[in-house]
Amino acid sequence: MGDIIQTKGLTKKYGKLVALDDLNLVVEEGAAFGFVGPNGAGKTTTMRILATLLRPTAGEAWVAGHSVGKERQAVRRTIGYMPDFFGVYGDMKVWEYLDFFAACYDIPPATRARLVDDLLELVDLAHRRDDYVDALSRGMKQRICLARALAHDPQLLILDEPASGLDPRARIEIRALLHELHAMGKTILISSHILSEIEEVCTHIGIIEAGRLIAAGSLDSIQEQLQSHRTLRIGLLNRIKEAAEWLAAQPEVLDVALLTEKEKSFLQLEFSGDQERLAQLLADLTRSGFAVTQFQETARGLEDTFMRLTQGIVT
Amino acid sequence: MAESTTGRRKPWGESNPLLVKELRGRMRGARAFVVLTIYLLLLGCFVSLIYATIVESYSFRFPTSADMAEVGRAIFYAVSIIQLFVVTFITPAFTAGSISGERERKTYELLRTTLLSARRLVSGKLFATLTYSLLLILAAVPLQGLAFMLGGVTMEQLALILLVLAMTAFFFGVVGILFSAILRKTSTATALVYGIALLLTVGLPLVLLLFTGLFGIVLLDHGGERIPFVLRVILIYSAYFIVNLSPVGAAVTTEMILVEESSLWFFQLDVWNGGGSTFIPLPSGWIIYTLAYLVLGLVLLRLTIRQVQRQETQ
Ligand SMILES: Nc1ncnc2c1ncn2[C@@H]1O[C@H](COP(=O)(O)OP(=O)(O)O)[C@@H](O)[C@H]1O
Ligand SMILES: [Mg+2]
Repeated sequence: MGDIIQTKGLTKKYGKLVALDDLNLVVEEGAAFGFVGPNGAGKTTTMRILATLLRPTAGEAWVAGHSVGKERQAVRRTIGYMPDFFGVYGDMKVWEYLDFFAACYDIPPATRARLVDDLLELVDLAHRRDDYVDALSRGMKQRICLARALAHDPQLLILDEPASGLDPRARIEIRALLHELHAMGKTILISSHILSEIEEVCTHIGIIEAGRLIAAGSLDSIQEQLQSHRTLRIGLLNRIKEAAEWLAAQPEVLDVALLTEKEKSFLQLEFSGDQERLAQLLADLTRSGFAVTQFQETARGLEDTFMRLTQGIVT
Repeated sequence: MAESTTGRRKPWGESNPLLVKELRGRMRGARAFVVLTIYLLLLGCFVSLIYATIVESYSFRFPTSADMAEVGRAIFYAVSIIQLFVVTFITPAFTAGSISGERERKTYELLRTTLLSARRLVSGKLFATLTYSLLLILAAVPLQGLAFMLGGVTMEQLALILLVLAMTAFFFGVVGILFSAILRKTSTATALVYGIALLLTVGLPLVLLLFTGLFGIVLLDHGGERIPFVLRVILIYSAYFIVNLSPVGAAVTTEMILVEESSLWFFQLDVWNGGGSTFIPLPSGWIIYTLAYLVLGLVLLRLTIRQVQRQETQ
């Protein structure tokens, strides 16, 4: 199956603030892709670009092969989008609300009545058909907004934190609905700042932090990456540049950066080996004549991010 | 080839879901009709008052049909001026919130991710408001018709004032939407469009009164000989054009030409050319007014649609 979402070097700047930094995201057709990251990581920004609402500063994005910047109508036809915060037209009745959006999606009048009833059935709001939208509870509004996004039978659903601010029962209902939609063959991109909240519905996960995608793949492959991925901090007495070169040549070392903090220089290392290989690396480093003063795993590695996300700690 | 081949572009006339929704919302419940009723009641009281006052002043004799025509004209002008102000200030009050309001209520993104084009979004918002304004205009026609029955006002005058009112509603409606699209807040958009409306309806006539006071004599009389003839003609035309951009100015010139030249279309102004008089034609005020507002309104409408098209939604 093909990729329904693809972004290349997607970057969005707000003045000096870099909200998205060279994001390369791929979502396969049929996936339920969990887009996870702490608040301010850039999830909403990414989704709004994909939904044709925001123009990137640099880079490009495609939805079902259509360029998000150049073929907006085609993209809009393909996606159903639900923003993180939204309002409803309170003075409309539930059925009118759905009928209106169906009309906005060019559904002919003859089929709309039937469609509205089907959608209401799907989101379990058939009994509220003739009530005003304003009278619905928060969870029901969330569901009618989802129904609205389904009016044109889109291939892809882009849902920005659909569970946030809902009570536990409403969350369960939304989750059940997402399962059902995925089973119907829809690709779903869903964001959250709490991994555990969406883990269960997702087949794939992408982790974003500070505008960068730091890991992505199927749930299993993510677990694997997490176990074998460490960020190390190495302090040296001298010959720090030489050490950087030596380290960069090691097979498990993915990346080496020379950093300075409080006028002291140190190396930051992305390392993909296990504990044994880690011990070996330190031994080799000393044997090669480098005077190591500090050798530690830092607290801001991928695993740590993952832990914070899993526990829902908001940064 | 009579068929246009503009692809999937939908014609203006095709049922616009937003227009339907907005109209339904505006007419829903008692509010729209309560407002309309109060408006008509106030207007009715006002007309009765004028009628009573003028008839009272004739109480020492039996009013002739010429007197009645006088009353009719007074009522006609009064109702028309009130309608003009109502249309000028009610239409933009509704349109100034049309897009900024959607943003404020956080419904705009939902709308913009549908297939509804910027053109249909803007036209839906505009025509829903214009329909309501038109309702206000037409509802008062019977009162103007009263003036018509008393004499002194012709069918043409009634038709003209309706045309001027409709064009005013169109123009200020568009200005309201434009500001609503550009500005983030409805309150700012409303304040700005009211500023422009006040400028055109009240400010411009005042400025021009001053202007004609100072230059009118210079331009038209023999004293203006020192200004070259061509320049004088250009000055006269521009001043006349600006006068007629104000609804009040347009009403005054239209009436003047109607009364003095008994023409609805234009009159000849004689300008001293050094050796004698040259007659230059000046069109009646309503022609300039409606054409200028139509063209300007259409240009601004185009601009608004562009603005909505390329705009990011936040
Ligand atoms: N309109 C905006 N103007 C300025 N900064 C913004 C704007 N929208 C978002 N940001 C900033 O961009 C970053 C990413 O935001 P966002 O995409 O909303 O993150 P998330 O959805 O992951 O919480 C944040 O630092 C946020 O403050
Ligand atoms: Mg967000």
